[in-house]
Amino acid sequence: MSLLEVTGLRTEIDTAQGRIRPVDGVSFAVRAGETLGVVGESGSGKTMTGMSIMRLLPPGGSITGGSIRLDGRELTELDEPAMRKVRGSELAMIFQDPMTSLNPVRTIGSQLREAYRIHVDSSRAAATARATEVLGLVGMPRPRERLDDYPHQLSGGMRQRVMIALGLMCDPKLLIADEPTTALDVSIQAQILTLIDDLKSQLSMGVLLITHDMGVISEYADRVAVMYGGQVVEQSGVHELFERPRHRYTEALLAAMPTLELDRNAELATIPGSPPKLLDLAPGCRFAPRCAFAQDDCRSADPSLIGGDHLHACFHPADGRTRTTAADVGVREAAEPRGSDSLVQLFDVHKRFGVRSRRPFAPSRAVQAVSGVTLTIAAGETLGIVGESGCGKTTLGRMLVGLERPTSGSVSFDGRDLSVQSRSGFRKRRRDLQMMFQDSAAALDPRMTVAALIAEPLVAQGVGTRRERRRTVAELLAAVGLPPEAAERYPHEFSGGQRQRIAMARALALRPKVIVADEPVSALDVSVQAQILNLMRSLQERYGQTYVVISHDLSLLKYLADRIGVMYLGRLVELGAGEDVYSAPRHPYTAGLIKAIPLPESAKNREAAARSTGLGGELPSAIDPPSGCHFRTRCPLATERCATEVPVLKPSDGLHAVACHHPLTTHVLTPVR
Amino acid sequence: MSRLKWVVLSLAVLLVLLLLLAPGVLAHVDPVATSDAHLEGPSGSHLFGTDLLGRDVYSRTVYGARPVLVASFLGVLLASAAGVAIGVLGGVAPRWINAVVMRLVDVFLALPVLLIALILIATAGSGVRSIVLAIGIAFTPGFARVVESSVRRLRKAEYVEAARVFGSTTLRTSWRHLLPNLLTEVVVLGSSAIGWGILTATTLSFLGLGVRLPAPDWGSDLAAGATNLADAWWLSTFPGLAIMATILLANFSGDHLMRVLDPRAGIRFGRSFRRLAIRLSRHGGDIAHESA
Repeated sequence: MSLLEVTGLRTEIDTAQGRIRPVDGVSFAVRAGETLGVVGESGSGKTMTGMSIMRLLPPGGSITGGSIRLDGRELTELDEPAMRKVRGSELAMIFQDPMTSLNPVRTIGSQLREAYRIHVDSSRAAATARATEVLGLVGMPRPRERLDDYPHQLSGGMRQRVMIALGLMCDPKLLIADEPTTALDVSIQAQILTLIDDLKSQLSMGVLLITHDMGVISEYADRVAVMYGGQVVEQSGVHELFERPRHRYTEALLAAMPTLELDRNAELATIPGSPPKLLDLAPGCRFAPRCAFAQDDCRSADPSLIGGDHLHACFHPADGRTRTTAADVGVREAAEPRGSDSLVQLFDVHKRFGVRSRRPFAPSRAVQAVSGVTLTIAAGETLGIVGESGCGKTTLGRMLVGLERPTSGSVSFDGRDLSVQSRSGFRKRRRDLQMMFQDSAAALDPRMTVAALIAEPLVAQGVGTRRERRRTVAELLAAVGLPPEAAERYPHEFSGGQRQRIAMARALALRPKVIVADEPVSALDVSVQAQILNLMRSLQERYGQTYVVISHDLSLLKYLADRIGVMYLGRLVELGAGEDVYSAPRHPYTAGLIKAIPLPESAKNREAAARSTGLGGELPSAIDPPSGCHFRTRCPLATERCATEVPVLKPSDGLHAVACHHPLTTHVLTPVR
Repeated sequence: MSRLKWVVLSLAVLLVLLLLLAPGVLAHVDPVATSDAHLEGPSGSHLFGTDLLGRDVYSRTVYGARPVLVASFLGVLLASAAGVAIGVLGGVAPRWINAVVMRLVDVFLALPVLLIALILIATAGSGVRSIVLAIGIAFTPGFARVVESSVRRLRKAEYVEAARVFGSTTLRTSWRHLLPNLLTEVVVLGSSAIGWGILTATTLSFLGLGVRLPAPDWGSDLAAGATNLADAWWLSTFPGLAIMATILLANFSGDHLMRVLDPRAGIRFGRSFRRLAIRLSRHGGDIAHESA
């Protein structure tokens, strides 16, 4: 018998706009010692499914039908006090952001003890002992000492371990992990997910892993339920799903992901439109309006889940033999060789930020955000900058467009040093250097219409007459694929993907030579991501601008960028053609980063891709970085020389440069130990 | 927004306008004229009763609104204009200018309204004009501090950084991005300040520093009635109720305006109003740009 059985679960939320049905007849089961992955885009109802099981619904929300059986016990019939007993003892949940889920003014020890003593009648000493034991279990070094720490004293990864420990205090039967690693860096993500996986078999609990990331699902789930529009549209074993997706949505979703193996010349398959709003839904398949295979029956009747071990709710399923690869969908013309004229030069750029010490009279300290980056960007190329949070990639991008001035070193554009120019001269230069921000909702003034937003750079630079500007706006809207009527509307009336199109149009308004894009798609759903990536590439072909794309996502950069620079703690550690950096990484950090990426492909040969996480440890503090090579504290190949001598980026011609005393030479991803 | 709220708010605005511009429509009796009916309670002929000299309390309450409202509105208008200007300056200026300006603001914040009013009255004489100035000076630091901290926050907003990236001058950015986005906060703060302004104006009159008898004024009438409160409750009660109702109305309309002004609310009236405001500011922005 299954540990958790959910059948026909329905949840409704009353809002000012009407009644929303985020969970609409969802059924699945989780066995003990098994991980069920629930995957879907934002608004697919995956989080609400988890919340419904925990019965932690938002105001106005209620379970209106179906059953939830945990270990044979019906949870929907329990009253609130009984449910409170179940929560935290039999059911545990961990959330996305460990910072907001932990109380900042209490020590982690007191929070752990509380979680235990709510459910178990025990002494304080016993609770402390249990807390120490569980912290040890989740891989916290020196758990006894950590009990007296406050959450802010721990890193993000360590806080997420505390969150997991909090869930495990009472030996739960089922752990619901809702996007447990979305806020974490890729190397930490691998550590946390592996931990959850180990704990699952060790404690033989069931795990419900809720995520938007197909890669995470493929590596860490045993079975998968794909959700769309509040319903489970496909459910099967993980190998089966990735080999032979049947539902057209799953198929399209897999094709839309930029993966490391993808041919750069192929255009990403996109899913048109955006996910449905779960309000006043007409009958029919919810994916039909976006589906390339939809026919009349899809629009009139609701398909139900059918088919034994591999359930799918689709009238016209994929034949289940081969996955449509991106190459079949459309092939871009082979990229022309990019011009090699250098457009932007960075020479030994440093950026320090002062941080004030908390104690009075203590000397102020400096965070070395960028320390000594030398780089040349050629006209018309796409340069990708990749690294974990805190590596200085965003600061580097901000210095490129002049939002920050380097503490030392120079940034020059077209042969002229930006930092020595006069204020007004620099303001004119800005025409050529534009930026796309990560969060388009924050980067567009909410009180301006789209037309005013797109025209703003032109107004600020005094370009054109009012009539000319209006024409430019219309032209740009068309170029980024928005209807002319969009001009008179406000940013909040658009979806995330559309807003990013508006931001793109604004960045293009001055016909800049360089666009710095800081995490351009990380706030978007996978199906929408592909649309924006294709748009960025087609606009580059049309207007010929140079891109500097900053991202934490190596697979995205491999698809988008001609060259990739890898940053670690303020330094550029590797720089080379995207293909070379990925297939033959020379820096141990790059190799580890690639290994940490969960890939759908690895679902096929999971045993072969053994669970060796790429990178151990955590990013050291930039206030007090390690001497010599910054990476040596996490490097398997570090020697004494690494501690004393700073490696320089060689060769300087930038073909495939690496800053390492012991560069990898083999094409094998596993570093030789 | 419910229809009822709109109706209530429109009626209230109409009432305030009448009180300010044409109090004669609401009360036909001269508020200063005395009669033989001394200290009569509320009745059909004298809705709110009469005072010691036989003056109609209803009429005095109606006519007494004008000095209070004028002092409060003008005082707050002055304070918000000065406060926004100082706050934006403090927010966008280099650190040392900010330090000087904001410490000066702190000094003014420490001055009691009464002291400011006393100094003004000693130099410029009593009357509505001194009260307006007193409220204006006393309320400026409050606006300046709130606006300054909002500007500091808004300057880090990505859309302000975006404006820097395409080379917008500081003046233009302040005009196009900072001011419109400060609007909501200033309106809400202003509406509660109007409430405080009414209290301040009546307090000053109550203490004999503002409008002098026999001219009608809520504050001075409240004070005059206080001596007879035991046998003529209506003398102080009606001006007091009028003060309360006005303050409540000011706060209510502030909340309402806040929602109307937010483009995310999608109210049609607000939309056309906003378009107008945007057109005005766009025009101003172009001018600001050309002069920069």
